Amino acid sequence: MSFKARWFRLFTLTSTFLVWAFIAAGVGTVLVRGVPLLPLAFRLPELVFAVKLSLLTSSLSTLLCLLTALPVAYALARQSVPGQGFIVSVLRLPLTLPPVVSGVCLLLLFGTTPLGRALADLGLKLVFSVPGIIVAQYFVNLPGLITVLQAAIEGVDVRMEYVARTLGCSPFQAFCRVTLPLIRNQILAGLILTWGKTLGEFGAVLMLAGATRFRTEILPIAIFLNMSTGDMEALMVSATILILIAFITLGAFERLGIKMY
Amino acid sequence: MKVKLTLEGIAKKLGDFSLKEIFLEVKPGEYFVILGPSGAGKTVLLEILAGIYPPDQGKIWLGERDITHWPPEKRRFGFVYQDHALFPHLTVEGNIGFGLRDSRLNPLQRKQKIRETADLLGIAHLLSRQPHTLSGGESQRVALARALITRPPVLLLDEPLSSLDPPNSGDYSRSSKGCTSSSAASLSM
Ligand SMILES: Nc1ncnc2c1ncn2[C@@H]1O[C@H](COP(=O)(O)OP(=O)(O)OP(=O)(O)O)[C@@H](O)[C@H]1O
Ligand SMILES: [Mg+2]
Repeated sequence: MSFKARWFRLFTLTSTFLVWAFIAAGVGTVLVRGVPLLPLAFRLPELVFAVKLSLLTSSLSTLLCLLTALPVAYALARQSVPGQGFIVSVLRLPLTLPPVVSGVCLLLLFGTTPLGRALADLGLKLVFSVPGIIVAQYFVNLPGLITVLQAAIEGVDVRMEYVARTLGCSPFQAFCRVTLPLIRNQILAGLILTWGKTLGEFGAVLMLAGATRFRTEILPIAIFLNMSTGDMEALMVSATILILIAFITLGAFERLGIKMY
Repeated sequence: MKVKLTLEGIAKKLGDFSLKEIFLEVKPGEYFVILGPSGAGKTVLLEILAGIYPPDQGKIWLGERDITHWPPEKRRFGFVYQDHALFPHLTVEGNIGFGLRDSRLNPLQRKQKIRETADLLGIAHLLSRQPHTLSGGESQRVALARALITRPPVLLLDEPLSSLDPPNSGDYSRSSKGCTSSSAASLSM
């Protein structure tokens, strides 16, 4: 290997190691202190509450994301949507919008408009409430799932759906019997990714649902509340739980990522 | 069903490509071959016949019936794409039996029918295979079996001889002839 090639190799490897060390040091600092405290999560009522509420709201918002992202992704991938460019830009907006701004948008929409009042009259109060957590997590993470599913559907040759139709399937049946099974792994990967991200959603939840102990206290909110009151143990445990979930999510995602069709 | 298939001034624009005023008539039991250079629109024309795209102009008749606006699932014309478009998540058996799902056959009769069709095309030994393990000619015969098993009134074959060597292709037209004796027309290119 020439001197230049060796130098370049050394440079890229050193960069990689330094970046790795930076991330590992940050995450490790919390894990080292948090993991021994983990049993507390089952004993402190506040943490038990936060873990349960986090799991409940994330699972529901992920399910909602899937149910709405599938038809939208199909339309974007397979049909010519009128004004496609503009529609897609708006649909993707929450992806680049700071979550706290998404939260402000939702707060104003549900807190100050007739729509919000109508929903509240129907018994669906979204401001400073648990349903508000779900809506905030949903709003921020929906575009990501749409993008993943759209790419997945575009990757399936549309002519297989056509063949299915000449064999008697309606467009919906062709989608269910051909395209859906072919993108099964991408759907699973998208779900895990979305679930992991909804668990960590903070800014939008804080704005719309607020930070009330034992009411809208999901894990990220618990970190925020315990930070402001200086309760370091509870904070460390909450952070550790979220880090461990992130590890599991990443592992599952990569395992699925390899086994694509 | 012994009826003829008629195209009356079919025209279609797809992006920059346009197909202009096609008239043709295929009589019952007849093979009709469409030849043209690459990009001439042979595949698009077959897709219009199958009902996948509506034509911009013109009418399609099956006997006395105007089927121009029938969707593919109502026409049920057999279709074999030039790249065969087998379903990768199903076995060969699953592919061939795909069109039988909503038929009144019980699972045993369905299996029987899949086997008969596969036997006819000399692919019975491949039934448990995955599509990606097949050779070009084998996968084409699987696609043909999948199209034939529902006894379609019209069989549309895109580049039917492309993946077959000469001795094979004799077999092939014999078997498709045998299978479609009850069909109205076979369009093949
Ligand atoms: N959905 C579509 N949108 C835009 N253009 C299309 C579409 N489908 C086909 N075309 C174009 O129409 C033309 C005809 O395509 P077609 O596949 O029918 O050609 P072909 O005659 O089958 O060619 P080959 O012998 O190479 O298979 C091509 O130029 C193709 O790029
Ligand atoms: Mg073609």
